[in-house]
Amino acid sequence: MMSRHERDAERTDRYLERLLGSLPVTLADEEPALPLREAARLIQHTLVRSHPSFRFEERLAARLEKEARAPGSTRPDDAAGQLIAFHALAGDQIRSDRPERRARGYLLGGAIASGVSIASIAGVLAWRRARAAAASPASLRVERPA
Amino acid sequence: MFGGGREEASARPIPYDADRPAVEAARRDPGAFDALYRKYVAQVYSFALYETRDQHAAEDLTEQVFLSALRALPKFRERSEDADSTFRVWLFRIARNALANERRRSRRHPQAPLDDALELAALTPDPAEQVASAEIAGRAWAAIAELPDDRRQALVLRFVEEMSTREIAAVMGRSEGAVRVLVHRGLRSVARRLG
Repeated sequence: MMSRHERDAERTDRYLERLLGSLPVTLADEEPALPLREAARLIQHTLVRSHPSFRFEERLAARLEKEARAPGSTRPDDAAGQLIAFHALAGDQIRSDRPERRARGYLLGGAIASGVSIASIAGVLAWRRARAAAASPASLRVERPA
Repeated sequence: MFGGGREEASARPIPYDADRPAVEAARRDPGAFDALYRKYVAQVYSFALYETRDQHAAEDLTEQVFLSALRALPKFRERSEDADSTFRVWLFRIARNALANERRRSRRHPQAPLDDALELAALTPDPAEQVASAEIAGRAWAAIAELPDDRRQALVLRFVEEMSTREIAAVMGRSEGAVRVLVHRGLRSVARRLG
């Protein structure tokens, strides 16, 4: 039998599925408490994905390309960290392609490039700019054409 | 305690990894790894940035992860024949391991405020709204930064990487129930800090 914590956690999980998937909200009695919902919405808007600088991305791409073309370079590397035995998840459905998700905003070297329009993030951006006025300028990220 | 992933998964359909064609292409021609790299570089970098709170450290970790993944790709293929893995989960497992190794080496956790790591420039909405929302966001970042590692990582994987509970469980080596509790408690801690 599930504890209260586990039931609350399941309720929160269902709420996040709807929130992050932009799905319709259901009955209020299935919702987690208001402070938790507010925290979830705030985190949704403040924890955004960042993109590395164009310079870094291209430098690493070149290094990977060189590595890939080196003879014997892609043999299994035991030093690569623990490779995973997924047998514990046999029969499992791991969905990495989630078409129901809406596009997220990105921070590309200092600016939100696409996705949701978020007033709070705009505020954060301005605030950070004011705070970081003396800091070195962030490299501008140029978005590649699709 | 929370019901193992095996039981929860038993009624689920057979997995399909959307990256499998790209993984197979990269296995045949390592030069084709670039497609996987381009698809996931921002995801891995974001995870690294939220964990290290330092752009250079995040870049180092990202580089390490993709080099390891490229070298180990043949091994992943062998494992993936069981059809119970995805490339993305595997990649984030490598990232977590690399992060843990790095922390063991340096013997310290990041101390910098989370917002200092995010080099953000300005958009231009209403100035009063900027100040109010920025203050709240700053408090949210501070609350998230102070969470225990596993709760913070679960939140980042859930919100930033938009992983399902099942994927996070696979990345973190926990049951789905345990991940749900981690996320719930993480949110509750943040809510308490914001309240």
